[in-house]
Amino acid sequence: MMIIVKYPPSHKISLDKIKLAKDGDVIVLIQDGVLYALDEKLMTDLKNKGVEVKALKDDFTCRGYSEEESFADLIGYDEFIDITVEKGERVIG
Amino acid sequence: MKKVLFVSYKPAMGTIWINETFRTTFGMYGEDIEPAILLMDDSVIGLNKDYAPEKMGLLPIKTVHRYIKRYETEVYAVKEDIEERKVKIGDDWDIKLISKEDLSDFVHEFDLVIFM
Amino acid sequence: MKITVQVMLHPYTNQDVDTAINIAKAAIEKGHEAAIFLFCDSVLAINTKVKPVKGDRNIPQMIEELIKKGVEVHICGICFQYRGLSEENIVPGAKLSGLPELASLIYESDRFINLMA
Repeated sequence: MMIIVKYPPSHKISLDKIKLAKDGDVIVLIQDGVLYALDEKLMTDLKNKGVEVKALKDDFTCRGYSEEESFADLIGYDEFIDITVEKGERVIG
Repeated sequence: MKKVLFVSYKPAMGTIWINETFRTTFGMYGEDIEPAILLMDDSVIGLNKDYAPEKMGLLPIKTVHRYIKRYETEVYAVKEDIEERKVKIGDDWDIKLISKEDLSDFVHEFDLVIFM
Repeated sequence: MKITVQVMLHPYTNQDVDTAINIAKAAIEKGHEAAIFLFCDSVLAINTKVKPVKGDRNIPQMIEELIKKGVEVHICGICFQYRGLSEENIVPGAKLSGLPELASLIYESDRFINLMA
């Protein structure tokens, strides 16, 4: 499934949604959810679990971070659409 | 047939979320959609026997029970969230409890999971 | 492919409407159909009478541009009435609809993106 996370780590529900991910799922971090991309341990744990994590580049960089600081793959809106098409038949949003 | 789970997690008092979640769910029955509801976090307070939003001038929850019966809507709630908040579930509810450790498998049974 | 985005929170106070606009725009540019369903406080986004300060974006105008490009914009009618909005101020081309239309969008859309939480 595709899981969309928009709230920051300070919102409990965002981590609750991340915990729902299973092997083969893709998490897309948007808005303040991109702050999770700074968490190297969480990003590594998810990858090891077979979960892909993407983060919207515009949302990450406009918050003052450089692309190098992200431990998730940064994507544009065009790639967001590609992921939606490829993996978004079933969505947790 | 699309299986859609509406999830309400926000506070049950002073807000519209519980009623809005149920209203949206009932709105799905005109299409080939099988909706269900999951209450978690502070929304589970809405299951309390004496939950009375009407005391604050909000919409009552009684109407919801009538529609749940009419449509036979499945309503689930997270067991640990209920215990943590000492919720005393009212007799009008027929709730299926889901443990936190089973949530991931549970939500993966649906086509769409809509957190409200 | 038809991609629908549902939004719920206030424009300007939250980023959701901006995100929905960007997703719909990208979908159209990739040759897909796109729709936005404005629910609860997000219906405020279609009020053409907003007066953003100089330098800020005009969200209703951005929505109008999307509609011109073929994006369907649906407004939850009950949410609209709750907030005392006026039909004469709706962005041209946005449609007053409701839960039956939302149900149809959920059923008929190939992809349904919910930005509510």
